[in-house]
Amino acid sequence: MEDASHELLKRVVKIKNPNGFHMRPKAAFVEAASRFASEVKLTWEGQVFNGKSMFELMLVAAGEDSEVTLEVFGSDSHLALQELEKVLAEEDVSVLD
Amino acid sequence: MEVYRGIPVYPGVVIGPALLLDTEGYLIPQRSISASEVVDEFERLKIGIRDAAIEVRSNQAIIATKVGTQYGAILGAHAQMIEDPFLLGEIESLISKKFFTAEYALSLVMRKHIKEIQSLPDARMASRATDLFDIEKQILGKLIGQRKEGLNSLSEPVVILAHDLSPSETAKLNTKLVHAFATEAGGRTSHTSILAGALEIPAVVGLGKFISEVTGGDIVIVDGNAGLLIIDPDAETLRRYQKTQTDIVSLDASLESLRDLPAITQDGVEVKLLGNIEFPHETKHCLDKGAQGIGLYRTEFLFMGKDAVPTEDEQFEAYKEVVQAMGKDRPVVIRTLDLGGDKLAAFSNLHIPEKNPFLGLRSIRLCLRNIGLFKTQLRAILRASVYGNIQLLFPMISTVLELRQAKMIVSEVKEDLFEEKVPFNKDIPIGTMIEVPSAAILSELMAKEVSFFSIGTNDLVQYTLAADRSNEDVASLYNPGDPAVLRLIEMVVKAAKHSNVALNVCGEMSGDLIYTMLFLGLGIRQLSVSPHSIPEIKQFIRMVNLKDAENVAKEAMRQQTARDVNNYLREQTRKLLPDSLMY
Repeated sequence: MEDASHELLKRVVKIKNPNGFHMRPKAAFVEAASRFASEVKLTWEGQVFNGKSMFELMLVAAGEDSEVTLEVFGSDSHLALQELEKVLAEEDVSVLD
Repeated sequence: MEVYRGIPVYPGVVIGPALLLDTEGYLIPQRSISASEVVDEFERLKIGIRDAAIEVRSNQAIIATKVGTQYGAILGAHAQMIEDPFLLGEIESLISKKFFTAEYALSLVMRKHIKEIQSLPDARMASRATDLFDIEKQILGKLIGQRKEGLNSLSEPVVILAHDLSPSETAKLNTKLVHAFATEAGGRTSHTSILAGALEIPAVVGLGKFISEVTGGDIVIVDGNAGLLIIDPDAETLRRYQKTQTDIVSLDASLESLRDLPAITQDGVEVKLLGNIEFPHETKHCLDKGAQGIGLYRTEFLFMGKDAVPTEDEQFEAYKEVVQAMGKDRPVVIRTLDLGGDKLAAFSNLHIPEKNPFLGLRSIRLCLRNIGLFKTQLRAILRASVYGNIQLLFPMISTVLELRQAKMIVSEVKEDLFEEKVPFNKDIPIGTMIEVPSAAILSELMAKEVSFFSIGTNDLVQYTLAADRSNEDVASLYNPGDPAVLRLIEMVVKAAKHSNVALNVCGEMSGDLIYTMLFLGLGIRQLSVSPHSIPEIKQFIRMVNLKDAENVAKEAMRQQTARDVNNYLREQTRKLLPDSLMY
């Protein structure tokens, strides 16, 4: 997965899930983020959270249509951005959380 | 040093290290470790976290197949949190910087996260704090499990400190290692307190909040005479209590000289003193203290702390052990099962949760609804009756009909035994407890049905004053000296005398010296008490003149409030016993 970019990449992502960025999308996000060597950060309402820590993400109360900023930095940042953006934008219509 | 004042329930002084139990009866682990233990603590934490995650993931798999992947995914998220390297890092840093145990560090870290989540503006997100509680419990369970810190695996003598102990937990205490206990909740007549008497270990209850002020391993003093708990005593206090311990030993020795003397007043009236027991092994203690018999054998303790109802033979062996230990002639009054209320047995099929258990299906009512259970016990008692002087006592009778029903079942069991050619005492005396106000009011009628009465003061006080004896908020209403209680007792004494049935008084009141003169003066000639109180009561009775006691009773009956009654009786008692350790 090495792409040797070492670039700080930023992207604003809109949460499309009707239930917001809830427990399961968070779990999926952490799992995906943990597969990359790059640092992963999420910014929401001006606060920065570690994207590999479920505990930190528990504090992200981003609802439907709200925006979070995804930031990745490291050797595989391009791949990571691509993949994580996908996970974040995923529409999970289940009512469970 | 911190001193807490509570209610003394068993005398004696114990000095020892504290062991804390939480509200669910689990040990609260120590909070700190020494610097040399940090590496081991890291290792424990890692294993605990690993095991918790494995368990959660296996539950996830089970739920996913049973009800669907999306449900299982929630547990997947839990596992992720458990394995979160940042969580591990936070806990490890508290362990290495502050020398906290893994358990304590974990709960501090979780407390912090829970607070953060609860303060989220989004209510649904904030409610996710419950997930964190769950996670904490999972990891804690593994950590505590590793230590195997159960009450069953104690290795050194300790003093148990808890918010409250359930009777079944109390019954399981190993008195070889548990030398005393103290609780935040509870009153003098809660069943935990009664059990402390049976275990013969110093105990103080009703101390109020103190658990947060003490750490496992702290040296504490339980003073079961004055009702004190002293946490982390200073050198002077420690010295004083070490001296008290030796004094108690010599006082016990002086009371022991009374053992073979009768409890007889100055003017020659004899009072029978019997012992209350919960377990067969206590008969020895009763004999050591000079009991003339067992006035109340509370058989429900055979049923508590067990997974299954004891069989007829198990019960028979217990009853036989008691009666054989007491010899052919000394009476052994066996009270049938008094389960229910706060004495819940583990076998829940016998007991459905009730809104108002003390007014519900308990005691004789439970037995009359579970005839099989009742008959098994009656068979065991009747079979044991050939070994000595067993008497049968029914608890919590509230109507004449109920008493007749219970007696009828005894007749049926007797017929069965007769047909099976199993020997039993066909003239076994049958008595009833008078512990519900209706039974006291109808004692004249009850007397026609039985050969003896036993006034159960604990329940009689509770039901007369409609005050739960284990609820601290209304405990002040629960007062044995209340004029209403005294009048009911007087009524029962008269009915017993008129109908010529024997009368016994049991319950905590009968062991309280301030009521001894009152009882004598009212005409009561038999008391059944905790064995440890027998020598003191005997010593006191031997100082009393019946004429004086009768005057004291008359004056006490004229008082209008419990406080006046108790003050008057205390003053009269003090005149005879100025130096008693009891006041």
